[in-house]
Amino acid sequence: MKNILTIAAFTVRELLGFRVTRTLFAITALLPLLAWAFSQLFMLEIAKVQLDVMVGGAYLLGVVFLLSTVVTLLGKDIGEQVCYFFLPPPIERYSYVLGRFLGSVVVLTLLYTLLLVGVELLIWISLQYDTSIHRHGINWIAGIMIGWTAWYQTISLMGAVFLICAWATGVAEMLVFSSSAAFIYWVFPPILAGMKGRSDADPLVSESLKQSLDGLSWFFPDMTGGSIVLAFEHGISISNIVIMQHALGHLGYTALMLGLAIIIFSKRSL
Amino acid sequence: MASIKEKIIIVVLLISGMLLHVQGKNSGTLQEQDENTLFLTGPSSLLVQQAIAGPCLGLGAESNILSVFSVYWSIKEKNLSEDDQQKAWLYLYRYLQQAQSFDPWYWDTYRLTNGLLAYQESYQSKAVDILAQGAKARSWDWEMPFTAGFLAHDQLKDDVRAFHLMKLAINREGAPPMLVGLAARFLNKTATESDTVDFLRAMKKSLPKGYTQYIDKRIDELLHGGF
Repeated sequence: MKNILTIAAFTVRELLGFRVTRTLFAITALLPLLAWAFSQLFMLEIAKVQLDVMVGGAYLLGVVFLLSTVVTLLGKDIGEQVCYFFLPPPIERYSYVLGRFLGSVVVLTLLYTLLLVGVELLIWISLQYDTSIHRHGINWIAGIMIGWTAWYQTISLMGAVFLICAWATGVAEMLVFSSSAAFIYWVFPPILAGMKGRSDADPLVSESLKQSLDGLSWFFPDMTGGSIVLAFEHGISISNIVIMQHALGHLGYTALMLGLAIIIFSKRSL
Repeated sequence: MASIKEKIIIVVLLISGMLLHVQGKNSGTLQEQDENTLFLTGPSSLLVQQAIAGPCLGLGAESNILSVFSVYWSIKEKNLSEDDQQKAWLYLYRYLQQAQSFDPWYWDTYRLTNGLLAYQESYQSKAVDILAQGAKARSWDWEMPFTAGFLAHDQLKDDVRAFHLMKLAINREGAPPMLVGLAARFLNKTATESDTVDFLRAMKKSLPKGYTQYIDKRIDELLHGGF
């Protein structure tokens, strides 16, 4: 455990030292301004538009963070054999993977904490100064839900990125496969949901196609965090069970990806 | 490394391009064409939009609303041909429908449906459909079903539908008691023109000035024409 924490602390220092990470923190700090400016184009539920921009920012920043810093770090470690520095005997390889993962999660958490401060600031300004039409349904919990859902969904993608990096051979390969994974995570769940919706409603679609679509959906983490956040932005309450199920599903997916990453990394030749 | 001859050719091409651009901008025919043409191609399919938006459903709805603004701007400011006008209203309807698919609770979608689409002859029934679906999604809102009911009565002359929608509004929490009387007067056809005008004026209040021309037109019709 001590080894994992030491590698995690080292990872945090390394990631915070990257210029890209500092730029991402600066963009996160400026995001509320962008959200405010964009919302002025709309008429009524302006506070909700601001939160939508923050949601979009949270997901995009998460993906950029993973691709530009975490993949670079792991690519350097594995591609240039820097990881030997962390693996003198008796340190096990799993300590390295878990330490790197934990450190990356800490930096992502710091980034999303800053984002959460921005979201809550926008909510506070809206509650103080906007008319009830402009801030309909907005409350403090919406801000917390934005940070929380984006956090665990990005962590599940981080699990997949670790699995890819544990298997790939260099930065270029890691970047291509991780970008593809991020693209698939972003694009496929809504397409599958849309296709499933249509096939369920269409009696001409065969049962086997419906079952194939159901099966395919199992391969991707459920990205319906977007609809949970949207409901909270409108002040609609969702049962705690649904929220917990969604979060636990993602954390389970992360654990699975990380477990596979440890197995592959332990067996690969470096 | 490019030779001097190649550099001269590049510079000449660049300057000719710039001159052609300036000439094109000043040409009366092109300017006229620009003012009379609908340059929009209409919304891409919902599935494509959902794929691009990913988990950002709210932004998906807002991008469609921004498109509604630009289509409406073209309708209002450009001198479009009849065909282009028809096309523009079809695009506007589809953008509103797609905004609703992304975010069924978003009020701007319904305000624009109510302010713009509900007064176009071929889209009145579709506007009531969008509002009725919105009324289902916004289960806390009495205003939405009442407005949909009012439009069913005033524009579609479908009092059976109006009755169901107004009944839904009256049973919602927070509905003012005067709503029962107003609904009854509309449906018994005992409502005066001034009742209808008052209701339209109340609806107008939440729309920006540039988006009220169709409600204004209806008010004008009621005050100076038939009911």
